[in-house]
Amino acid sequence: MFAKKILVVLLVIGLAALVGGCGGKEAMEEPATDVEAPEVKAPPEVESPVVKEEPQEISMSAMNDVFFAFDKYSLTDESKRTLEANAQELKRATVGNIIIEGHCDERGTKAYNLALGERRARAAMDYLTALGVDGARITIVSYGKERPFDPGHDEAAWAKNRRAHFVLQK
Amino acid sequence: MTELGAFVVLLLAILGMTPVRAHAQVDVWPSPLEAVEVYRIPLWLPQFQIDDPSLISRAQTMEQVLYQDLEFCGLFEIIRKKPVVVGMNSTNLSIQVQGKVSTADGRAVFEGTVTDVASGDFIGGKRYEIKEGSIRRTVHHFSDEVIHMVTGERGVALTSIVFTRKNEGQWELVVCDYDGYGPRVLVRQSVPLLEPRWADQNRAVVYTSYRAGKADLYIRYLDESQSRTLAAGEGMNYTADWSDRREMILAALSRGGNSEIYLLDKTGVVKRQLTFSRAIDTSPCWSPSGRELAFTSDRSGTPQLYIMEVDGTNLRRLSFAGGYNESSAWSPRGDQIAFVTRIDGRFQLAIITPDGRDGRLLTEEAGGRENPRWAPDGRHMVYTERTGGQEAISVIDIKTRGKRILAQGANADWSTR
Repeated sequence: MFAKKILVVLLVIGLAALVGGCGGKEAMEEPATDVEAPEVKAPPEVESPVVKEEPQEISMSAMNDVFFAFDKYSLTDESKRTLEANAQELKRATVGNIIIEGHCDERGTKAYNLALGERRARAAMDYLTALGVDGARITIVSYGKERPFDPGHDEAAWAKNRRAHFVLQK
Repeated sequence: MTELGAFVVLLLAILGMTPVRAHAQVDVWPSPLEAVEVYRIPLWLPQFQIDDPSLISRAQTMEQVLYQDLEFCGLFEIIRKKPVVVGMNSTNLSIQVQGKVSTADGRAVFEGTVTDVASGDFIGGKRYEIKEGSIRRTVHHFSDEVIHMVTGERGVALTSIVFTRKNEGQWELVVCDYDGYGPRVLVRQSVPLLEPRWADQNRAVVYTSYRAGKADLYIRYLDESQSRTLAAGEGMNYTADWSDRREMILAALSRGGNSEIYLLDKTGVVKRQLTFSRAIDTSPCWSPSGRELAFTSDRSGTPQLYIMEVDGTNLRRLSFAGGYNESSAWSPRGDQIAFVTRIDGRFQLAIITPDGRDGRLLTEEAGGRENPRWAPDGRHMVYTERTGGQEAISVIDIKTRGKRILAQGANADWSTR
């Protein structure tokens, strides 16, 4: 219990650092050699990032990624089961929104993978809303093949990279 | 030499005419032509004359740059040693390019002359003041002149290349000379930055960036210190292509929930939606006239190339072979469209005529290639070469299929002249 509290405190501090870090987003235009805003993407395994004092608000827990076949954005049975669990979590929690990130493996062109990643994120969003999740709580963004989860260059890495990833927001 | 030249032209014309294929029946793109012997004009490039010993190191640099420029254009077989001339009809030599560096009125001067070896006739010459810091550029000026004297068309030695690279976890937008020299970082940021394209008479670069958390279009003028937002509406705003002829931009936007091709004005305001399919429509590229565009759509079930007029009419499918054709780039003369095709799981470069004839591969090797973009000479292309996890900007001569690596990076675009 105590350990969990410490973990929560650490997470809150960590998040504060992240939020503080991107506060200067408006002014982060690039002087040619200056370093721009820090990474704003949450680590994939992050736990419930914000714990409020009010007991009646229930925050979300981390959601599992949904994976896709090569060059596809259709949902497999397994993907649907994962999304059903994620929908349960979204409905259980009374606060918090999510960003669904669409990702691709490194094969293919940048532009087409951006579009494919968007299709994947949208497929996940459409399934969640069909299950009764309020679409207003969901934003989608595609990273194409620009931010692979696994930097490898084999089928094992590619399989991990063809995914929709769920980022919790307050 | 002229007789031989004419013969080679005739030979190339015959070779170019042979394979007229019914494109709808082709399952895969035909392989590259077997090593076509490309005629090169024998060019004698002797050592520079150096009248002032204090200029030796500069002269050596200039000689080296001139050699590289003339070598790069692919037109010449460069001979450094004094050749033995064997009689009147000797074809082993045609022109001599002589550089000379001297001091006149206290100023360092470079002088280049071009002479017909057989007749001894003076073809042309140029004089330049050598200014510190622009030595390479001075030679690039002269080598473009040499190419102009020989072919009637300027070289590309004064053009620039823009590309992206990952550097210590940061994404950088970089501009360099056509030969990879003088890289200059325009933008450095912690979020993805991709697909830069030259814009507004090479004074600016349009690119896609995740600065605001999603893919949006920005434009960066080279003489400004900040980028401007070009298109950042709902959804993705990406893969832009600027036409100097039209002063308009083609881009893919997903503001309606699906990636479609749009025509934007130079300030990023949407003028017209050009595609209306439920499929993915992306990667638009202008024809040099600014009258047509090529783009990619997976409306047939796989990504394939299409062409249409910018007014939205006359849509037709261009590629039929293979299950993945993307990233089209229209040649500056309008006679070819380069693209990326997937064969046996590998991504290769290919070309096809805009009426769908004579499609064929330019590369066949292991590894992968992406993002072909033409040089203004219509003979060279810059592209991304991927080997393992490494990405390099490479240049291919589509006549000889010769390749060379320019820099570490990806996503390059070649400026116009």
